[in-house]
Amino acid sequence: MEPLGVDGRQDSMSSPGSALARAQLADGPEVDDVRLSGTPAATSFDDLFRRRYEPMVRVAYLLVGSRAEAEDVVQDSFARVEVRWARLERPEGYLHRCVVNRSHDVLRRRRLEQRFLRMHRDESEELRADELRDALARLPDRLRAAVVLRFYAGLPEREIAEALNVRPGTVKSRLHRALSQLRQEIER
Amino acid sequence: MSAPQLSDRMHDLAADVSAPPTDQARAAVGRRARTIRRRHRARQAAGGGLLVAAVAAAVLTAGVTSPKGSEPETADPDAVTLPALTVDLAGWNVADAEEVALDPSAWDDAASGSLQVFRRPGDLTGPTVFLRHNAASDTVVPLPDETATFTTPSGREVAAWLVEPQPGTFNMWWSAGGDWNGEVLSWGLTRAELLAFAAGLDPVDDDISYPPVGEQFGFTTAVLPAGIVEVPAEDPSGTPSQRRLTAGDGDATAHVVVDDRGTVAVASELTDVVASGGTIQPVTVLDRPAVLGQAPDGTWIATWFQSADGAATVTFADADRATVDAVLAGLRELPEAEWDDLAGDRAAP
Repeated sequence: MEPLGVDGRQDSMSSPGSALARAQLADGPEVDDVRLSGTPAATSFDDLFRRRYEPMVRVAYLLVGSRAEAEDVVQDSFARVEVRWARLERPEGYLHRCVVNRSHDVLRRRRLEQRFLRMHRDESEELRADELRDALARLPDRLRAAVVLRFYAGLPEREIAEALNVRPGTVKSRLHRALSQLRQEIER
Repeated sequence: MSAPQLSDRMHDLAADVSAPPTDQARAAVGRRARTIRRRHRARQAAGGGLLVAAVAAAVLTAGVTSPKGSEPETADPDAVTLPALTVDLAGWNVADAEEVALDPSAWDDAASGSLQVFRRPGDLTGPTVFLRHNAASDTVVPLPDETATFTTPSGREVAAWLVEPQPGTFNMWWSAGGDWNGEVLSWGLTRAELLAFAAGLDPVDDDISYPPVGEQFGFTTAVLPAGIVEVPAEDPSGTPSQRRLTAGDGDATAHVVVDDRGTVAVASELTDVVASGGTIQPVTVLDRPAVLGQAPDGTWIATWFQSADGAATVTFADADRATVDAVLAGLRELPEAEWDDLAGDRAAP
């Protein structure tokens, strides 16, 4: 299967950020850079919506594990982008930030619900049974966000740092820890 | 599993998710955006007077308000620079040091709630309550698992969920009909004290809608047990700044951050630990009272006030308790010139 970029198209273009990530991760073959780093900036909000809606739902799905909640997260995020469109220099960066923040809101609320409500979820909407799904679910939120943005969305470190509001060095550390933990979870 | 395999498997997981950018989805986004704009305009038209009146009315109703400002950890107007810390320990090397000016206005993702912090004046490790008021975007599933009930000063009957994931550490949550949620995270209080505190809470603004724009989040308090008071937990009005340093010994890593957001910075770290069911214990760092937390994933984090509003946090990766203790004992405050040299030598080109 060919990996897709966050805009849903194939790409093999690399970026300085991803090269740094490879150097940092070092203990495996190089990851394909699936992001279209050279994609022209969106010309309008509707252009951004058409190109990024489904890829961002998939990113949110990997973060929250539910398609319905992922669409809710992404629709809310696009609404925030639309309201601020004229003031945003990098709408895509702001969109990533909103999706991560809203996903964290969902996960924090869900932890409360699971802890207090023992909420029964519609399993048909959840990620299908998969050891990677289980391993991702056990990652702390901040590590899961870093690993999804890097290895699914293919963002370079500096853009992940923007989305997570941390410095690039912290992204490196989180990716390293996330990969270590995923390997331990899956290979044991 | 290699990095490419991880990437491929993530794409496999997400491949079945179909969410085309349909007109229906676009319309849903438009409705949310209109809601944000409409409510933003309404807030602007109402001005601040209405909110002030609402706050005043809520305070009068509650009868007691939190004595904000009595906490000695308020900003020192004479403190113009943050302390700088380094790890001065055999075998440990500094890998990165930088001074960062945070710019929240560049990413003004609207707040969806508030955080209030309560503890004894100047006592970081004593009884502590983190109180959150969050907007809710979804309906409440009615389930019969409430473990605590109480009536607030305004007469609201509350059924809450209360658990004690660690001895002496409580997590409590309740919902107001899907409009907003209240959450209490605490340590050092008894269950009875926590329930008395919760029963004294009423929201400043009960009319919270989603998505939230300019809502007046927060609670008034009628009961403050065990000598706790509300401490200021607001971002500084200027540009927040941090001094960050990363050190390691080849295996373990310590990220040291001194942040001028004070209580906000401390709370942001500790609430994650408490909410996830981690442990909290008092320690001493650089002759100052500090809190050492361990999250369920094993991550250690220590936090304390290095200066009046300079919150220091050390987050550890791949470190055991002995390493944590050694690093905390090996911390040293740097003279300004030494920090300038350290950060300057490692500045990004």
